[in-house]
Amino acid sequence: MTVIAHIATYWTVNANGENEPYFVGMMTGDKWADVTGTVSPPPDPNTIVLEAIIDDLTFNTVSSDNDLYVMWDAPNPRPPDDIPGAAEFGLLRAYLAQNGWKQAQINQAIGQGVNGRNRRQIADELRTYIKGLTP
Amino acid sequence: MNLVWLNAVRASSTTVNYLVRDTFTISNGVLINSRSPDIDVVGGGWIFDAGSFSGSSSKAVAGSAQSLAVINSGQADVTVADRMTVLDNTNNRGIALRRTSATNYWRIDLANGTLYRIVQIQAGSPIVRASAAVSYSVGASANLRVVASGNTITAYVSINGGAETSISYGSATFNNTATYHGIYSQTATTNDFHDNFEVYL
Repeated sequence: MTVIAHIATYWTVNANGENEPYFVGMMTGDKWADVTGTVSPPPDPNTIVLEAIIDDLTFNTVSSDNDLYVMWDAPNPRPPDDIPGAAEFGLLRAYLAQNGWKQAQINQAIGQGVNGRNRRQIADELRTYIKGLTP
Repeated sequence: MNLVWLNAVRASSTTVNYLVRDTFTISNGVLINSRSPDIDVVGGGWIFDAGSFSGSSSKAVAGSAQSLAVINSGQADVTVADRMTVLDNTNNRGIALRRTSATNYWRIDLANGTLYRIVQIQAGSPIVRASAAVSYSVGASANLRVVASGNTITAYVSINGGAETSISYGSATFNNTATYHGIYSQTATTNDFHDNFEVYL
């Protein structure tokens, strides 16, 4: 099964000295694109949201990796147009905090509560905020 | 009724407007910047930003590592195509796009025998913006095609005449008015051949 997902992760430098998202190292028959578009990555805090089209084996690996956070995926289990629960929203806030975000930045980027937004809307707001960050 | 017929004829006769075309039909060892391409609308010819390319069996091969050759097409929103023969599985080669200097351009490459990628080279620093898995072996023929339109760059690849697959990056504001495009090889002679380089609208 093929899964499309928006995934938060961070920029790293590969063995050839190239900047690329952490996710790339675990690709097999998959593809991805930067859907954040930070002009000069990495931003501070170092975060990117990427879109990946991956098989379910890679998806399972991604889902269990603490350096990656699946913001939504299609098909299940996190459909983009569904509203996440408070616990899931808390996991996103915790992920960002663990990656160097200050609470004030998290609040500015995605707010303090879900407030009726679906997963796609929250991911879009996070991408917009990251794009405005400078290195 | 006649108008409908006329429109149907026009729709079925789309022509390609070439800005640059080079089949590299030159003698072995002749530098590609020493002669004129088959089509060069602007007329500036090839420029070597790094290393060099020369003829080899009517193809272009790099003369040294990190060779980069570009040519001014006069347009930033273009399609660029390059047919490559890939003779190693450990290095990178591909198309240079929207170049303003030797250290500022986009590179669409076949990398390490496993990926094709859209890479932004900014102040000499590579930033990988998109990639996908692709499988090819030594001796493979790779058709690489890139469509640059505004802030979107889409790369298509076909290996040995197979179906095209694609990747795309939609925030390509960097160098989005640059009109120089070209070819790139990470390593020198015999690792890969470029052929049928085209820039068109």
